[in-house]
Amino acid sequence: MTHITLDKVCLDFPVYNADARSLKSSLVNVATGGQLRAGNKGGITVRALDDISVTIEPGERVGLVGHNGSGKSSLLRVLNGVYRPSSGTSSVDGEIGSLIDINIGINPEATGLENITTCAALMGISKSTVVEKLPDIIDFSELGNYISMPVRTYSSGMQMRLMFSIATTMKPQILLMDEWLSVGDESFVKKAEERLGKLVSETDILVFASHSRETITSTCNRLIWLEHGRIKADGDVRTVADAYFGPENSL
Amino acid sequence: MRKTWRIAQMLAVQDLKLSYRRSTLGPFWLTISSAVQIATIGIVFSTIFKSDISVYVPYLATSLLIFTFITGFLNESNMSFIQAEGIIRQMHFDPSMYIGRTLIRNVLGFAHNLVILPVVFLVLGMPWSLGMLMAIPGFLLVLVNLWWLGHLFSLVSLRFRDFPPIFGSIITVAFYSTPVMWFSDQVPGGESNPLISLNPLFHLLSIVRSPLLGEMASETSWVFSAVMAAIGTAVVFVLYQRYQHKIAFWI
Repeated sequence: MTHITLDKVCLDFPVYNADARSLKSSLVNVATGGQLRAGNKGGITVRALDDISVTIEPGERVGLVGHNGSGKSSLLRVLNGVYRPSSGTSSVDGEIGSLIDINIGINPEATGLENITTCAALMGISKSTVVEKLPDIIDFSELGNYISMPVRTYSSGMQMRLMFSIATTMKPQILLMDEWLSVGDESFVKKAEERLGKLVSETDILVFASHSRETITSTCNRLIWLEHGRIKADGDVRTVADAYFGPENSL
Repeated sequence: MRKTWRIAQMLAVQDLKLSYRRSTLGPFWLTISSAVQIATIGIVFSTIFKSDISVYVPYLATSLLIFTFITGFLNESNMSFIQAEGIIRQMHFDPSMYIGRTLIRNVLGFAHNLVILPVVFLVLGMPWSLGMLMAIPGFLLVLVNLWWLGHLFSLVSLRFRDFPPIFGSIITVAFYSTPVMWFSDQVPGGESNPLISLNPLFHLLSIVRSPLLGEMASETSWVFSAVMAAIGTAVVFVLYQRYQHKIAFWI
């Protein structure tokens, strides 16, 4: 069954200075016993997540709030397996779909059509789904004949529409999203909203990081507030949103 | 596992396609540049060495093709992770996928270059023999070695960003110190000269080249390559057990 359990998860990032990234300097360090360059090992770590314990059940739409650098994106990347916790355990059951950055694997030299195949495969969309949904993807992206042109000839809006159309073809059990996907083009916004809304509603679990109170309150049924990599509050949307954003002005 | 290979293959084919997209000659422009290189070096050095063109050129052609394949792969494997930064930050794949992509791409490129050999052999009247088939197990053993070397170099390059240029210089030196353009019996002691007998590139080259030229690769070369494959694979296995989870942090 679809399920997420994090138990005392900590995530430490090593931060390297230029010397620590250099093989030459590292070898000099060894050769000189580290004496000449004492304290220059570049061994700084940043704790991005600190003692996070969370269980998420099917049906939950979890919003993540917190200031920049509070650990929202790190948490999403622990969930999709990019980062392995430095300590603690993370167990995620279910097929994950990640909308953290939908430009994954895009190759400007390849045509739109070629990018559909590769990007979809990278996002974990099966080949048969792509074949079946290909007309739909092309149609939805509104690219017309441009679909067989190299992506480098696209405007940023066109590229965004293409990637959005591909990414929203997935049908994951767990959906991870970093900010609500907005597709700049005015005429496109409405149908994009609908399509994304449908994807969100069909997934078992949603974990969604956002800065927007409005989107969070309309999408989520649980809210987690992160601060300095720790959970500051975890509960129903209203309570936590009031605590984080301040009480809502009653009109 | 199957999925990993499918994605590696897909990306490798795309890399290759895009590299010759804007060329009318298609994949064979690389082949032509290799052919020109072989012809030039062949004419100049057979004159300098006062050797028979029909002996020197087939030797040079085989050597150069295999050597450039091996070193070309090793060089590109340094970038296996670094180039895939966008994907590594967003998605989790088995790290071997990225090395597989580099290897498949290079094997396909090598296959294109390989058409030069039958032409050279026919023109210069080289005898064909069944013994040439021994080049196949030789090639497979080379691939096993490239597999672990690729894993090693990609990881080292990721951690120590000054490694790729250092490696580039090593390759240039290796080209002149390995019997590629010259014959091993031109140095005192021939193959038992430590300059040659301790050069891993010579042994890898030998087990493919000698059979193609209708000779037997020395037992030493086979044993050297096999032992290197075994030890290297073991070392890389341990290394990846320990460091593969760091890849996302080092990128």
